[in-house]
Amino acid sequence: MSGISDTERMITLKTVEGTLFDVKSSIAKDIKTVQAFIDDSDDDVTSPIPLPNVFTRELSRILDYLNNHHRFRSDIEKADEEMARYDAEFAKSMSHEELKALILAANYLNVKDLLEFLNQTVADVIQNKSVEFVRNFFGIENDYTPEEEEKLRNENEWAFNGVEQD
Amino acid sequence: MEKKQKSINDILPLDLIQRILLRIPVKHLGRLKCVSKLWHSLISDPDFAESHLHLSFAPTHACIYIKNSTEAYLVHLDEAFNGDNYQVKELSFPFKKKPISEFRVMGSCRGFVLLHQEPYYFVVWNPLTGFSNIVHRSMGRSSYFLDNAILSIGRLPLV
Repeated sequence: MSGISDTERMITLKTVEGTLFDVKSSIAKDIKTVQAFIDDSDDDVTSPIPLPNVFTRELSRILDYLNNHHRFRSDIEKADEEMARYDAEFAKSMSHEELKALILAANYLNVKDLLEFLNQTVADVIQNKSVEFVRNFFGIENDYTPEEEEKLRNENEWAFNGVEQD
Repeated sequence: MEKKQKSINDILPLDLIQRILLRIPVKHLGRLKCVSKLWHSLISDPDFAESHLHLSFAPTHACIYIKNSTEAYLVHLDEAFNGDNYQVKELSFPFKKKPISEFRVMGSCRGFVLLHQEPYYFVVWNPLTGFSNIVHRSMGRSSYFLDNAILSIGRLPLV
């Protein structure tokens, strides 16, 4: 019996649209929801694993992120620098809607590092923005009366300096 | 009246919103309380403040300079070290009127500063948010320690 096989085991994932993605088992390990499904199965998983909440666009982005991060990690010397550059480009390449959709997918699939990174990306996007921008971004309805809101804004006046234009 | 139906995918779950808010620096959180009542209660929750301080995804390092007991200025150290473009913000002291006698800074802890004004007047002040609370010497059992003791500010861990 050999411990290392030349061809790594592949796992097939299926998105809402029915698109199939072949994923190395080492990559699948970082997708905790998928790994839990594999761990819970008695036999080897050979048929595609359905992901009923994940769309093709998001899964493709997540796999792209994981593949690149695995590649960077194999070259310790350049890893940090290249990873930072890649992450910055990755965050910039998405619209706000795409960013939210990706967070939901990363949350459902439980891809920890990516989720942390995306949370930071959203924090960076909203922290200097107006209250209206933030409501709009998250799809939140204002449930304050105008009087309540006015009072609260006065109390927190210190936090309204240096807000960027939306 | 027809109300626009929001897709469930437009709304991020609460635990995700909380995790995002933990990464927002304190100086912006006051504004985000105005987003909705739910956000207000999330941000005002003592457990949230505790996590925000400990996880330090978004730490605040600020320095206060007090001049002649009348003027105070605040500088964010990260901005000051990271370039020329930093702001010195003038702070207003937590006194309604100009203090009659001099006050002293007794200590600071977790973003709060303890000010003391002779003879009986103590103020706990958060220079970043402007929050302040007056603690009179007559309050609390430890008051008689103050005569000769060096008073400072600290925090007891909550069990």
